[in-house]
Amino acid sequence: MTTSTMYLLATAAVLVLTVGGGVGLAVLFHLGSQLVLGDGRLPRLVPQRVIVPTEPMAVLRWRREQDEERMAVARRVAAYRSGATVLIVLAALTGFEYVMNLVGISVFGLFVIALVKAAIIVHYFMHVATVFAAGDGH
Amino acid sequence: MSGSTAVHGEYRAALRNNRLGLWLFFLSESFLFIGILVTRFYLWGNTRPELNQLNGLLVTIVLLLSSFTMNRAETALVQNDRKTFLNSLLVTVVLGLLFLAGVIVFEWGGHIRPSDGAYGAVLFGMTGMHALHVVSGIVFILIVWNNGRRGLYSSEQHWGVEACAIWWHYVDLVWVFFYPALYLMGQAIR
Repeated sequence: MTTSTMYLLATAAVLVLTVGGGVGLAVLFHLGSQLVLGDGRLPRLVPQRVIVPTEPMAVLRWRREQDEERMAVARRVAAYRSGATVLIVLAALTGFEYVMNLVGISVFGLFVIALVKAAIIVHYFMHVATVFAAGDGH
Repeated sequence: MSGSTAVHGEYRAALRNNRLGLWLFFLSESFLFIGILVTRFYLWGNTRPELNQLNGLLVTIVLLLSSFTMNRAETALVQNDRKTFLNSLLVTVVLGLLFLAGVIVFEWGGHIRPSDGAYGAVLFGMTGMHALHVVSGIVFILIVWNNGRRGLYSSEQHWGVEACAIWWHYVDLVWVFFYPALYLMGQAIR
């Protein structure tokens, strides 16, 4: 194999790996965002076949069911998104903590960041307010 | 009052007591962890042993992610999304095991031994006590997952899931203070 052929093959391999890696990462990122920020389900590769009824009363019932399903999905997405937002804030604070330590933050500063993170967890994840609530929820 | 309303009222009353009881338990557990944290500052002062910073950051992120998936499981059950509920519980277990692996393999397998004076004792005491709580959380989640699979929880009544989720978040909460105390605060001593 000549040097130029090897050079061409190496260039092609790098191109394929770069493009393939980029596309793969993009797909992974999309699926991840669908899982985290969507309604918790991966998108269908093949769209689901919808059978629309023809009888007038059945059409009304079908439309009502479709509306209810859409509302349920919207509720679910909103509920999942609040958890994702808390995760992003906590991750950002952890990163901030790490970087600030490299810069040379004091022990007191690190303790304050930890306290903020703890307050977020206690409020949003542990639902401390429900202990004092009149008895709603699960 | 109808029978169903009476049962629901009883459940709510029990729920209030359960929540209060769980938080009182957390309060008593906090004394243990605060004691360990005070020990760290008393014995280590403004120093700390040289630990793998990347490992510390990674296990912290993994535990944070597990808190998110636990919250997602609880939210999914409230939203009647049983598939996401069960899957999220399993993902939380896997992340919990990854956290344990990170601590046991990389931290405990490092250059510091429990017999290495104050540094070894505190490091293994802190991570060991926390790991014990992580293990109990994993067992708790698996029990809840099994109960969920059998359909024992509904979107209205699932105290078991709520308690399990709060317990897991509590484990994360403890690590929020342990991570900077172990890895970030003070001067690293080789």
